[in-house]
Amino acid sequence: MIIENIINSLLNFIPEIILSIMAMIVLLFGIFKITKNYIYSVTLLSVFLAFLVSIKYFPQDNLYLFSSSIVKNELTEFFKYICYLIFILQIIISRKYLEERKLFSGEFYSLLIFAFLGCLIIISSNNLIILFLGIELSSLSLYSLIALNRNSIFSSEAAIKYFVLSIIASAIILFGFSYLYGITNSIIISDIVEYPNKFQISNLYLFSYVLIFIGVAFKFAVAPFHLWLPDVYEGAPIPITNFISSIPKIAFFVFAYRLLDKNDIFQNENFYNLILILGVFSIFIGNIFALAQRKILRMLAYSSIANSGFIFIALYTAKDFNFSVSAFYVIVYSFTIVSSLSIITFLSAKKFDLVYINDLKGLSSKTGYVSVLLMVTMLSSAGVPLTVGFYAKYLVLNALISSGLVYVAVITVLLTVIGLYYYLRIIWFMFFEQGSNSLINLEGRVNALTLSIVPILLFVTFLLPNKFFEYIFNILA
Amino acid sequence: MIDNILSMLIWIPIISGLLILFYNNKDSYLNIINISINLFVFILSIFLLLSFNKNISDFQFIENFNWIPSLNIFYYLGVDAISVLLIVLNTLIFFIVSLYNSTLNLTKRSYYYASFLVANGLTIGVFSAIDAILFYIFFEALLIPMFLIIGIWGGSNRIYATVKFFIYTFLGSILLLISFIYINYKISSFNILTIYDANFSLKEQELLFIAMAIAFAIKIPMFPFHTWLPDAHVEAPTSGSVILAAILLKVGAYGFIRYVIPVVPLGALSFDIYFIILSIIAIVYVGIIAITQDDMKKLIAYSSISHMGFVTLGFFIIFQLFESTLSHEDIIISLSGSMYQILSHGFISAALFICVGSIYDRYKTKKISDLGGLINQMPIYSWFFVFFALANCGLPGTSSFVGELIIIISSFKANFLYAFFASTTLIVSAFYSLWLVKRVIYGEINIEGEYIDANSLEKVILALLAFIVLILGIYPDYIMIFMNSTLENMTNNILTKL
Repeated sequence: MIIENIINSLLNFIPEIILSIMAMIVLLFGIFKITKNYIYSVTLLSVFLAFLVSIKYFPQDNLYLFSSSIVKNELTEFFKYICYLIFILQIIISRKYLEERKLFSGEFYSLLIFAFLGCLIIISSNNLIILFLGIELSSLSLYSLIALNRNSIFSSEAAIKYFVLSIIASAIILFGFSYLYGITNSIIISDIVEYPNKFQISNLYLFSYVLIFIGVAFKFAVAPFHLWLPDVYEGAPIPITNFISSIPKIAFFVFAYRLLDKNDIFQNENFYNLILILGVFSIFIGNIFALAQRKILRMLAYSSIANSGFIFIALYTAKDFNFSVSAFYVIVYSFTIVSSLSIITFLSAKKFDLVYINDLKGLSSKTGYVSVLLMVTMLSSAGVPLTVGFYAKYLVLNALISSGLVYVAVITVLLTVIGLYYYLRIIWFMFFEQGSNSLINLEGRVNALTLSIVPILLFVTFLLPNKFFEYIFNILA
Repeated sequence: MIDNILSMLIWIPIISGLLILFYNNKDSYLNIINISINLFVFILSIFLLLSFNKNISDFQFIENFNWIPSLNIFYYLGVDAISVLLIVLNTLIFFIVSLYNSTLNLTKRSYYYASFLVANGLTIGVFSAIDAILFYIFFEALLIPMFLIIGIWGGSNRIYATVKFFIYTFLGSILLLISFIYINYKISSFNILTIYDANFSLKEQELLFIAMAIAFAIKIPMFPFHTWLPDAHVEAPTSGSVILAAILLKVGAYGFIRYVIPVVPLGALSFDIYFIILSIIAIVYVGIIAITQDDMKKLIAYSSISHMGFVTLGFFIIFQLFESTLSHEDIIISLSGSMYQILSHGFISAALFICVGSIYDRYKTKKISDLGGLINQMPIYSWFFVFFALANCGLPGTSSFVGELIIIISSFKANFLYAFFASTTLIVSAFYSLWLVKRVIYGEINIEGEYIDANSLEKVILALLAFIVLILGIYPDYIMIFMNSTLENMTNNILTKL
C-alpha cells in the first residue's frame, strides 16, 4: 500500500523530476564544454518535455501526493501551464542576449531550471516545509543568476540587495510558519486552513498570518516592502528580470490563494484591511515614483509595484467573492510584463543595453512593427480598451464597487490616471520623437515573430474573452 | 444586409484601416482606396438614414449578441434618430476629410489614413452602442487613433498637447467606467434601456451625475474643463482638427443626452443651475477669449467651446423650462435645438478648419497678424472663408442660426437672464468672426509668396459643406421632424422620473 502510494506519487511527479534531472544534466554539459547551442536546445527540449508530460498526467480530481505534501488539481496545473508557456517564451527570446554577453552557459540554464522548478513546487505544495523548500530553491537560484553577470557593478549590487532582503522575507515567512505549526499542530496547509473554522481565531494565528503575508508582500514587492525591486530590475540581466517579474509572482499568488481560500481569517477585519491598505499604498507609491524614472527598467519596476498593489486589492475582494479576479489580474499582468521585457531584451544589442527611455526615441521610424507591439503592451498595462488589460482593471473595480468600496475604487482609478503618463511616455518616445538610435538591435526574424505572440494574444483575448473568463471563474469557484 | 448594417458600418472602416497599415506608402492608388472606403461607408450611412423609420421612437437595426456572458456585457447595437443623424454627420465628415487628405503631402501616409479609418469606425460604434460598456470601450478606444494623429503628424508642441488630451479625457472616462460599474452593481445590467427604467435614490443620482457629467464635460468641453482643446487643436494637423471639432466634441454632447440626463434626471435637476452657469460662462467668456486670439486655429477652437456652450445650455435648461411652462413640447424643442446646434457646428467648424488648413498649406502660418488681403490673391477661397465665418456667427439662413435661435427662445421661456446672456453671443461671435475676416481676408497684403486660389478639390469640399450649411439653415424641418418622436420619447422618459 505504501509502496503503491509512493509509486503513484512519483508517477504524477514526473514533470518536476524530469526538470530536476535535466537541470543537473545541463550543468554537467556546461562542465564538459559541450557546444553551447546544444545546451540551449537541451534546456528548451526538457522544459517542453516536462510540459507535455504534465499535460499527459492531467489530474481529473484533487490528487494528493507524498502523504498530502503535494497537491495537484486543475488549478495548480492551469497555473503551471501558464508558467511553462511564459518560461518557454523567455528562453527563446533571451538566447541572443545571453550569447552576446557570454552568459550562455550550462550553469546559467541549470540555475534557471532550478528557479523555475522552485516556483512549480510552490504552486503545488500542500505542506509548509515543501513550500519553504520551493521558495528557497527558487530564491537561491535567483541570487546567483542575478549576480552571474560579473562585469556589471549593478548586477552585484542587485544580487546582494535581493539576497539580504529576500532572506529576511523568507525568515519572516518561516517565522510565521513556525507559529502556525505551534498553533495548529500540523504542517499540512489544508489542515491549517481549516483550523479557524473549528476553533476561534487566536491572535497568534492572526499574527502568524500577518507575518506570512508580509513575506508575500516582499515577494510581490508591494510597498512599503518594494525597495529591492527597482535595483534588481535594473541590475539583473534582462532575461532574469523577465523571469523575476512574472513566474514567481504567479507562484506566490497560488501560495496566497492556498493559504486564504476557505479560511475564516479572511473575515477578520484587521487582516483584510492590512491587505487593502498595502494594495492602495502600493498603487500610490508605484505610480508616483514611476513618473520620475528615466531608466526604462526602473520605470517598469515601479509600474510592477503599482500592479502588485492591484493584485493585493484583488486579493482583498476575494473575501466576498472568490479569487478569480486576482487570478485573472495576475495572469494578464504577467503576460504583459513578460511581453514588454521581452521586447526590451530583443532591442538590446551586443554592446548596448536598452536602459534609458530616451533610447527609444524614434523607434517607430526604424521598426514600426516592434513599436506597435510595445505600444499594445503599454496600453494593456495602462488598462486601455482594445487590450485585455482593460478587463483586468475592470474586474478589480467591479469587485471593489460590489464590496461597497466605491471610494477606494475612485482613489485607485485616479492613481491609475497618473500612471497613464509614464506608459504614454514610452509610446510618445517611440512614435512622436525624432531621432534614431543606431545601436538598437533589430535583427532576428524568429525572435521578432515570437515577440508578437503575446501582444496578439492580448488583443485577441480582448475580443473574445469569454472562454477565458468562464474557465478561470470555474476553476477558482 | 439590413440586419447587420451597423456592424458593417463599424467594422468595414476599422478592418480596412488595419489592412491599409500594410499597404505600400508610395502607392498612388492609396488615395483612391482610402476615399472609396470612406465613400462606401458614407453611402451605407445614407442608406441607414433612408431606411430608418422616424415614426418609431424605439431603437432600430438592433443587433444583440451575448459577447461576454460572465461579465454581463453584450454586443448590443441599435440606433434612434439622434444616433442616425450623428452617424451620418460622422461618415460625411470623414469622407470630406479623406478627400482633403489626398491633397496633402504626408509622411507615413498609409498610417495616417489607417488612423482616420479606425477612428471613423470607432465613432460609429460610440453612436450606435446600446450597451454601456460597449459604449465605453468605443469611447475610450477612440482616444488611441486621435492620440497618434496629433502626436505623429502634429505641430511643434504636439507631444504636450496630445498627452494632455489623452490624460484629460482618460481621467473623465474612467470616472464614467466607475459609474457604469456602479449602475451594473445596482441593477445588474449595462443595457441602456434597462438603465432608463431603473430608479436610483437622489444621493446616488447626484454622485452618478457628477462622475458622468465630468466625463462628458471634459469631452465636450465645458468651461473650466476646456483647456485641453485649444492646445489639441493648435497642434493637430488640419484633418485632425476637423475630426476633433466636428466629431469628438459631439461624442461628449451625445453622452449627455444619452447617458446623463435620461439616466439620472434627479441628479441633473440638483445641479442644473451650475451647468447652466458654466454654459453661459462658456458662451460669453470663452467667446471673449476667442476675440483676443492671434492664432486662427485657437480662435476657432475657442469659438467651438463657445458654441458647445449652447448645446449644454439647451440640455440643462429643460428642467427650469418645464417648471415655468409645464409643456412637453418646449422641452422637445429645446433638446432638438441642441441637437441641431451639434449638427450645424459639426459642418461649420469642419469647414473653417479646412479653410485655415489651406492657408497654412500655402503660407505656412496660422497667425492672423501675418496675413492680410487674401481677397486679392484668392477670391474664390475668400468667398468661402467669409461665408463660413458668417455662418459661424449665426447669420440667418445658415444652419447655426436655427440652433442658436431655438435655444435662445427656449431659455427665454425658462429665465430671462439666461436668454439675455446667451444672446450676447450674437454680438461676441460676430465680433470675432468678422474681425477675423477683416484682418485675414481684407486689408493690406501682408504676405509674400505664390498665391494659388482654391484648387478644384478644395472647391468641391467647401462648396459641399456650404451647400449643407445652407440647406440646413433654410429647411430645418426635415431634421426636426426626423428627431421628433425620439426626443418625445426621451422627454417622457425624463419627466416620468422626476
